Amino acid sequence: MSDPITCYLADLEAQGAAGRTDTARLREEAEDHLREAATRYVEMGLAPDEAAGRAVVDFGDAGSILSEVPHRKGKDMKLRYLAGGLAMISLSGLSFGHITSSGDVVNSAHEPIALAGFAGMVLAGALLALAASAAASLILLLVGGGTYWALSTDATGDLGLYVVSAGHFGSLAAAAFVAWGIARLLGARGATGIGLVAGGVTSLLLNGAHEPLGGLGDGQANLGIAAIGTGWALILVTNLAPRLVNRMRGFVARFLLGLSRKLEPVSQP
Amino acid sequence: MKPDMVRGHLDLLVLAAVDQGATHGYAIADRLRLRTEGNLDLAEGSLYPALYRLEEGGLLKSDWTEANGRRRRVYALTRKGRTALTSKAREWESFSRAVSRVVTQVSPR
Repeated sequence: MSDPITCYLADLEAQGAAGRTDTARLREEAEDHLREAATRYVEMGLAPDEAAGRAVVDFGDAGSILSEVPHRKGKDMKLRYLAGGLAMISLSGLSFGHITSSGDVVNSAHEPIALAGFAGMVLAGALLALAASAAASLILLLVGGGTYWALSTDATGDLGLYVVSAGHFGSLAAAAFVAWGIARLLGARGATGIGLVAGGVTSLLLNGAHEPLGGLGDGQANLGIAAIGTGWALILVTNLAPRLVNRMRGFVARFLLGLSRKLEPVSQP
Repeated sequence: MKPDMVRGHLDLLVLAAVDQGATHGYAIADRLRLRTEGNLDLAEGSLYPALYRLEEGGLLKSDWTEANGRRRRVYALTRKGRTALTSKAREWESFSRAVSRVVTQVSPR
């Protein structure tokens, strides 16, 4: 950790304000730049530590560089806002159509609205997820798409329980991914935790709709509670850990600096 | 040259450096250092926000490559970037010529 480049990169990461979408990319590019610069200085005859220190100084203050990084705009951002809007409309449709994990799965009077809302949620979640992670987007499309197909065609026939579970899990996943995507869009820390909490709440609500508050012992309710608990734990860890780690780094760096000063050989007169 | 002065022309400088051929951030800083003989007083890290800005504006495009076991982002000019560079260079030339005409008439006291 005493390597100046590693310390600088840690500082860059720690200062990476929420919402600066390219902090990860900047960190990677900064590391390549700094290592390359340090190598050049070593080739010029500097000691490795001095070379790394010089490279860091040339690179400039992390805070002022981060303050100049533009917020992501353009097509990608428009797509995210569009997906966020679609998610809101879909959620309204879903609430109005009232997909529940009740035996009928979809309230028959508003079935088309509910199904359209659910499809919209899946699509919006996938679009939001795609902006951050293609793998997450694929997972949602597979889970959500499969659920939508099961719900709309009642493909499982007499196996009502499986349809209920599919509807429940699909709605949970869709809500989790939409919340995760919106959290990423807004640059919130702990987006995964926020997604899990949203999924957990959806799970509890669906369970509640099925058996109002009385069914908290159900597996689905337990799943919801577990998701909410894990989500909150993740949110806390993501928000507190970097500060704690940073304090620890600062403490170690100060200690090593003090030690190196004490051990510095006194020049002979 | 002071950082504020450089910052105002950073986009043009970066575009001109990338015009020499697609390359990564450190090499762009190196090209600028060589061509200005080290007269630019600029934190090298400031290049990256400029690169992102230019990419967002469609003047540069970039891609990851692998070098020395590390991922490296390589930047290249787009057609729009080349056009912008020509126009910005022309603007700069006419501006510097005009300023130069005024400034060279100032007699040293």
